[in-house]
Formats: sequence, C-alpha cells, structure tokens
Amino acid sequence: MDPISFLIENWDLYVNGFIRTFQAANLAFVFAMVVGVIIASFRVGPIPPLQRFAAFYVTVFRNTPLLIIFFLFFFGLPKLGFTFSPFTSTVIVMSLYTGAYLSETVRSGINSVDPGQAEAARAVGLKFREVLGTVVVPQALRTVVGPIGNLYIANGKNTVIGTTIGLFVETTAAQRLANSTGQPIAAYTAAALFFVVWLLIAAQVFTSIERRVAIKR
Amino acid sequence: MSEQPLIGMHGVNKWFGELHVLKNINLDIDHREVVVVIGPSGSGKSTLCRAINRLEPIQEGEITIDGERLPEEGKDLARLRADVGMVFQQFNLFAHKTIRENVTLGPVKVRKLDKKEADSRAQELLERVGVANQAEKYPAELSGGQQQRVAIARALAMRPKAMLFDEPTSALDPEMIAEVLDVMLELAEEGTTMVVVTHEMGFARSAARRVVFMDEGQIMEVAPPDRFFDHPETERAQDFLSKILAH
Repeated sequence: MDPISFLIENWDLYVNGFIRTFQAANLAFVFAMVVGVIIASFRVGPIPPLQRFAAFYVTVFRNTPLLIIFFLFFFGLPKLGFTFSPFTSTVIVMSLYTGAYLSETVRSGINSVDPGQAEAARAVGLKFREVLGTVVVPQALRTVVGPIGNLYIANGKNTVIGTTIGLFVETTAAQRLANSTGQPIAAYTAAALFFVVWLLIAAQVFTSIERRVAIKR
Repeated sequence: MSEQPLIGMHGVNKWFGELHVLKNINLDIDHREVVVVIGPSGSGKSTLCRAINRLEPIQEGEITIDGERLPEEGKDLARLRADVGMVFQQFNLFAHKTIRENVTLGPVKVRKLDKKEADSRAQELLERVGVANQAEKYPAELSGGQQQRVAIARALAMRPKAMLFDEPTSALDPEMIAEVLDVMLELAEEGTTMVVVTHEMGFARSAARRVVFMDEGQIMEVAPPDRFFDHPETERAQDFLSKILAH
C-alpha cells in the first residue's frame, strides 16, 4: 500500500499520536526558551558561581547523548524516588536539553549586541537585570531568530525519542502499524509526512518572525 | 551656590593593565557649573568623564555626587547613575525602541512614572530638542544629529542633577554639529551642571566656566576659557592649542 492510502486508512491513530508529539515538543520548547535565557543570563552575568553553574549545565547537556538523558531520567530517577509519566518526562528532558542549546544561541545573540546599548541602559539607571531584560536580551533574540528556528525543528524531531520510554506519539503508532501490517515503509513514511509538513510550516513561521522583528539599521 | 561641590574627584587613579590612564585627579564641579574637558586623544579625558558615573571603575581615590560616594556596582549605583545624565559619542539610542520609548524607558522603569506622564514629559523634551515629529520612528531612521538630540532628551528625562557629555559631536557630520551644540548651549545657559569632553573649542569658549586641559592622564591646567585660550600656562597646552588652532 502507498503511504498516503495507508495514512488515510489509519488516520485516527496517526493524528492522536501527532497531537501528542506536537504538545510535548511545543511545551518543551517554551520551557527551553525560559531555561535558555536564564542560563545565558547567568553566563554573561557578574556572579562567578552562576557563571560556573551555567557553563557546567551546558557542558553536561550538550555532551551527553539525548537517549542516555532520557534513560537516566525515566529509569534512574524512580530509584531516587521521583516518578514522572512518559509525557512529563519527555517535556522535562527536552526542556533541559534544548534549553542548553538555546542558551548558547541566546548568548551569541547577547554578544552581538553593541556594548554601547548596555552602557546607555546602565547610565539611565537600570539595574543589571533590567539592562539585560529590557535592552540587551530583546535585541539579542531578534538577531538569533533563525538559529532559534533551527533549534525548534531539532527539538520537534528529538521529541520522538520519548517513544523509547513509552511516550505515545505518531512514531509509536507507526511502529505498531509497521509490526501489525508488515508494511514498515508505508507506516514510517506516513509518520514522516507529519514531521515534514509541521516543520516546514514552522520554518516559514520563523522566517516571517525574523523579518517582522528585525531591527532597522 | 551650595557649599559642597556637586561632583567631587579626589586622588583618583585608574590603570588599564600597565597603563596609568588617570593620574591623581582632583577636580570639584559646582552646582550649575559647565566644565569643558579638552586634550589630545589618549589623554584620559573620556575616561575621566566615564568614571564620574562609574562606567569606568577606578582603582584609587574617591568620586562623590552631591556629597554621596559612588558605591560599588549594584542598586545603589544604579540609583546614583539615574541622577547623572550621560550622552555618548555614538549616541547609543536603544535600537529596538522608538524615539518616544527611548525617552520614556528610564522615567518609567527607574523613576516609576506612569506611562502617560512619561509620554508627556518625553513629548515636551523632544519638542525642545526639535525632533518631536520623529517620535514614532526608530533610531536608525534618524540622522546622527537628530539621534544625538534624542540622546540628550533621553538623559534630561531623568531630571538629572548633572549631565555628562562624552565627545557628543565627534561622530557627527560637520553640518549636524551645530544643531547639537545649540541644544547644549541652551542647557548651559539654563544653568545645567555639565561636564563636556569635546574638541569643539568654540563651544568651550562660549559655554564653559572652566576649561580642564588633560594630557597623559593628568590634569595639566584648569582655567576660565578666556585665560586658557589666550594665555595657556603650560607648555603642553600651548603646544596643543597651536596645533588645533593652526588651521
């Protein structure tokens, strides 16, 4: 059977799975943005322990395979008395993981902002947090919308790894269908179509955001 | 005139690594006084100006604003900085904010003025510096001279006790220098306390009560403009003036 007919035949299963992926990925990305901005602020801030913490955080999450983080989190934490559902686990792991990458992106954005902007903000009497929050970070984010869009796409795809700990997403649906029907090509191609359509649209959205928020120079 | 100076610098020393950029600076600036700082490039005049609101930290000595010693980085310093307006060579208007927002940001965030009051104050100041019709534009859409006048309005919006100008016209095309100097002259005439680092000798002559001449990190000479320009005492000042006034 071709993937399209296969998809139509199993539509509900795929759509339910897709909605799960979409929710987990977007929720994680929102939290990841928060994590990213906070960690980046620690890194450029004046407090050495926070700088070190942020550097450590980024090092750990960037250099550990995502699959291992998932396993540690889902199978390791219960040993310490913490148990989360696969969905919650996926959202938390992806927030932390993507947050580490986002923090580096935000930091490069911060470094690209003319130091004169921060000086002017300090001279007006803003405190360090306000200088970052109202002047530096808003400008930094505008310059890195493109790279943030790339991370959104990576985050969306990586969320699928949640299937390994039992998160029901469309890939899980595809897996089941591939096994039950003996048609892996049709089953997985149908699942891939969701990602292609979703992430293509996302890329377009980020491109238009980039254009809209660009600072006139 | 109140008895204590508005800005006091006592025994101020600063190094950039090995380089001794401010050498034992002692300077008191009174309320309503206009002091113009001149000197060759690298003489430390910008650093002196920036040290007054601690954009450049100093290693030795003491700087006071209205009798209060400049604190370390933190919220007390932020409060003190709010009382000292600063105008930069490169304008440094907030690039992502409109002209109006540039002027209202400080009053709203720091002075806790409500938005409406801040807007009307901004409007008033923008009219005064002649750019009220540009209020909804972004900085990059304005000429350099207009941007610098907005920067002055932004600083004035905080109702500062003193204004610092760090080479405010050095990045401007010649035809725009006058429009900025006109605004500064007006401020001087109104009795604003000003420290102005500049190469504009005409401005120094007409606006300054005292001229401070710096060279190699030291204050070489402090005198009223007439005396300084007509009869400079130090050889370095004579040399400097002969070079800049030769053409």
